[in-house]
Amino acid sequence: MLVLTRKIGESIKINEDVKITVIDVKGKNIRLGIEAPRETKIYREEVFLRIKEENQTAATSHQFDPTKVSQLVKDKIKK
Amino acid sequence: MKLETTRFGTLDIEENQVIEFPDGLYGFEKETGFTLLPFNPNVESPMEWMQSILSPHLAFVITDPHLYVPDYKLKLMEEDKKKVGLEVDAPFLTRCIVTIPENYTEMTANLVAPVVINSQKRIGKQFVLTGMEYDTRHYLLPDEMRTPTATPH
Repeated sequence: MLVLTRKIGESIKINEDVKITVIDVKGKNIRLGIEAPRETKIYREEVFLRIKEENQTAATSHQFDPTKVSQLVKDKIKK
Repeated sequence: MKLETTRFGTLDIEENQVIEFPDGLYGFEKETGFTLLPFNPNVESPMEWMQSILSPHLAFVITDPHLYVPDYKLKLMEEDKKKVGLEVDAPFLTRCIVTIPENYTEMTANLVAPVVINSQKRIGKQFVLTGMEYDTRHYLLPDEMRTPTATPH
């Protein structure tokens, strides 16, 4: 991993078009400003962990009666 | 082709019923093929099963998020569309994976990571939405239809 030290207000550039600036540091929290082209996808990393976990949980669904589940959902959609 | 499944026994499906997921799903990166099956063979349902082609035990319940969140928005960028082989403006299916706990009235849908299916070319991919407006555990039923403590069967 490349490790760089930056002060508040300083930036790093990734390629020509992505700029990450250290806005503020308060205790353990660092505020970052990110400038990037609109199509760049920027995520908090935890999102991916949550989604993996949720897929995992969904894959181990409990036994259920599909007729009852369908009926409940249909009742809700009708409302 | 014959398809072994844990839930539905041995099925006979056509090759053209297989949807390719080149990247798999998050946490299931090796699951590169699924087929859609009726949720309940006898009754029409807003839900469907997404059964793995490779793992007999693996099947997800999916549903159309627009049925619950009418203004659900999935903006696909051009490069996203390319990943599922979509031409500009071509229609695609949006489905969310449903988690059904023991108390099934508390079932939830993952609105953050919808599954997008190009049904014409039969290519699918799970996308992750940027932004914070949706939940990975969105209750499908409103409060008054959920029974938090009892486990109805």
